[in-house]
Amino acid sequence: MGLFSGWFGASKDEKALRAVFEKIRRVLEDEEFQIELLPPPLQSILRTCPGYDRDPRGTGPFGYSETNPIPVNGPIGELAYLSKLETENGERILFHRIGAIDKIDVFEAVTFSGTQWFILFADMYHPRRSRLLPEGFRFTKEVPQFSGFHKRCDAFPYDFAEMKNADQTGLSMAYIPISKIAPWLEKRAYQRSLAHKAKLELLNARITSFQNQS
Amino acid sequence: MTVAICVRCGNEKAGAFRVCDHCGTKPRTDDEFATALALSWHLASESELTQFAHQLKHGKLIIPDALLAQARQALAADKQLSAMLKTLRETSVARGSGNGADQKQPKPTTEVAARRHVRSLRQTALHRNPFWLLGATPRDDRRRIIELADQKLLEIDQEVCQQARSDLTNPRTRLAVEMAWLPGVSPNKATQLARQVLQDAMSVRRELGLPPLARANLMAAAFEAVNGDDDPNDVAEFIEELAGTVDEISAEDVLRDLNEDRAVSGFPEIRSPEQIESELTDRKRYFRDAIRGALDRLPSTSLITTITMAVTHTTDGGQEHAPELIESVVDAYEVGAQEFLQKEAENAHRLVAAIRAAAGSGEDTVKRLIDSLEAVSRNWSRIAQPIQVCARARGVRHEPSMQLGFAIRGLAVDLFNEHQMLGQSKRLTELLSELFSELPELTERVEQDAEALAEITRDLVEAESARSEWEREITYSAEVGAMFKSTLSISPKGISWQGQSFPLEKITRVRWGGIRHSVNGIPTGTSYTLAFGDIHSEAVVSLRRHEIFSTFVDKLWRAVGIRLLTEFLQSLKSGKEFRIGSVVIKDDRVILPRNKFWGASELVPCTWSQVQVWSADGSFCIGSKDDKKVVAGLSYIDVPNVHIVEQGIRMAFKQPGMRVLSDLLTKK
Repeated sequence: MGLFSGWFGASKDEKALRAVFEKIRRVLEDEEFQIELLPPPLQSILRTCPGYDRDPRGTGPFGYSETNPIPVNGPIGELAYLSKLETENGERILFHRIGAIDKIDVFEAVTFSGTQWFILFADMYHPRRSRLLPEGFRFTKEVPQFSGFHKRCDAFPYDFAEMKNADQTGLSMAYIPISKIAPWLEKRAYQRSLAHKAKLELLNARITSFQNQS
Repeated sequence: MTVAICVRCGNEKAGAFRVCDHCGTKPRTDDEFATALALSWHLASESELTQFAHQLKHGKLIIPDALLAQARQALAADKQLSAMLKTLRETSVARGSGNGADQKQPKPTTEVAARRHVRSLRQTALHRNPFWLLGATPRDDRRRIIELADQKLLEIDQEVCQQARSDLTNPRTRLAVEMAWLPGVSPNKATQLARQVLQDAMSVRRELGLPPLARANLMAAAFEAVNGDDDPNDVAEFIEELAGTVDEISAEDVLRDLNEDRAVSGFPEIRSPEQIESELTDRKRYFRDAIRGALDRLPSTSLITTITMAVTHTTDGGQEHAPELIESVVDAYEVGAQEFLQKEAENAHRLVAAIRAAAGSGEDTVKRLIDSLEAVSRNWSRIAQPIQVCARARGVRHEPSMQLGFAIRGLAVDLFNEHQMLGQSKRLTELLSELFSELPELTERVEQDAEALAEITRDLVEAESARSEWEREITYSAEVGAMFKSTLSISPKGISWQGQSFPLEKITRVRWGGIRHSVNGIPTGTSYTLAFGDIHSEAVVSLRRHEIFSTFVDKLWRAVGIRLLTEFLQSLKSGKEFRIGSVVIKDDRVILPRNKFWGASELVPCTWSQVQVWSADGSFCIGSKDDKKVVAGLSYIDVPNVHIVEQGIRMAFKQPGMRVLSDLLTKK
């Protein structure tokens, strides 16, 4: 920034930078903007669906059961919601979408340090995201840069950098820097528990069967 | 990479909780989920999975407790996983693939059911029931039955029609007819189900929620549709389903259902459950015969596979009692198989006798005969396995299997003990472990034998290894001589020197030593002598190089010295005595000369506690502790085997309280 910029207004570079920051902020936070980034047919579907914090007919623990998924506003809304989560110990999570059972998306998640693994269910066909939290989580006070993907990561989470670099949606600028998780990636800290592996096997069987049927 | 194996049949499958493509089994209960998880790559290595698969296929699965505990803990500790498994269980039940979450026997899955082809029947036992023949229902009164019989006279044989009418109206025969129909099912539904059996017999297997006796009657009728094209896995499951259903029949419930109908029809109420119990005995006999009839229509191999699977699964490999119906089916099977088993047993016993007789002819002959015995035994085991498993589940033993198993075990023991055929003995022991695992008494013995044989094999390997080490250690050769060199060599074959060769085992004497030379007190070197020989001759080597001398002595001691020492002690123990130089050595004493200045020496016997030993002037000396004149010196270099004797005496002297030299052979 030049010496006189404060007196005579921001330079062109600074304006561009601010515009980028503003866009990132809207990508991360602005529910309407998140919908606008989607293809028009999907936008119209989401806008006609009901907006609520939880499905009134939902059963089972919120977010942990396919019968009580987290309502969110489209796929970017899913990224935004999950990236805002942190555990009660203050640890944020990495996540990826392993598939869908019917219209409910299934996400596998792990804390940055690799100590806890989760399976979370989200329903993206809503105009806004839920303000409720799955048990054991709270919303982070950090800037909720994206920390996961709406695709399946074959080597999750070790392929985080490759997935981020391969992103074609223009959202890569909204992602956390790799340095935030590099120490744990280098330590190969991510080991799934036996129960978690069993859950993945059960879900993968159902996701596969659904995809085969469609 | 094996992902998981089926908890029932041991075949590979795509995931722990998935349906087995081979047998259609899917885990349903908590225990089955835990077992399935233990039998997957999440917990077991590739080799462990292979081992589990082998055990399952032979009806004896042993999962380490730690592995199962780990699986159970994982399943119990995670609420989300528990919920997912609950959903899985409920989905299976909703699809009609089982009777309930906690029912032990896996029921046919949609995949297996889909493979079944629709088949129609013209008639079954159910359609020979008077209710079906006359188109009557259990709620029709006597007058209506007579009317219906009159109408049917034009359609069916008169005699059959009259018999049907009589069976339905006579209180004595009516109960059997009612129980053979569909008690507790509404008249319309009963007619529809009876038609369904004719149109698509196997579809009745999906009819859940019926009273057990009615369901069993329908299934037994459907058994008439089983034929040689059916998959043995499917038939086995069908048998298990029927057996499970029969076990659920309650005489009180049947009594209640029948009396409800009788209250409408006006026939007298049945008073006691005993009447029902008596008729149930006949029904169970009918169910057994329905299964037997179906099994008889299968090819022999399918029949055996079917019955083996049904028994193994319902008894958990012989660990639990089989359902009553399965037991009676196996009993009937045993009667049918008796003649075959008897003939095969005779063949096997003949072969055992032939192998014993041929054992002296060498291992090749025995091996060929054991090939035949193995084939016969495998044949026997294949047929006898369901009987063995069922007997084990009942807590009794299958005597013919025991006799055959012990005959083979005896042969295995004798082949080793009397003919040292370790390989063939091990082969038979392994065969017994594989084929007779359902016989606990035999298995225990065989396991002990296997352990003993394994230990012997280990010992042999170790002995072989020690022998190789010894052969390497004693092998040595060196050039001896200043101008005209000759080769002195020692190896397991023997010792050679200047054209003379002595096999190691023939050598009976050794001696060695060195003499220091000097001129006017100035050392001029040492000359060494080595000698060895048998009872006929001796070779003597003179040399000056200490290095060759000491190395050769070391090799000679290992190759021959230890054996000579052992033989010396054994001979003493057997009462022999040895004269070496002027000394006579016995086990418990030594006879030494008392040296006199004048006249001949006299011989003085001394116990070993009365003498002492030492080395002096190139000799090994033995002398009395009390009389200095009673002493003898044995030159190391001149007198054969002095080194051997010295070693024996010095070692024996180290034994506390030593009385005889041969104690060395027995005391540690």
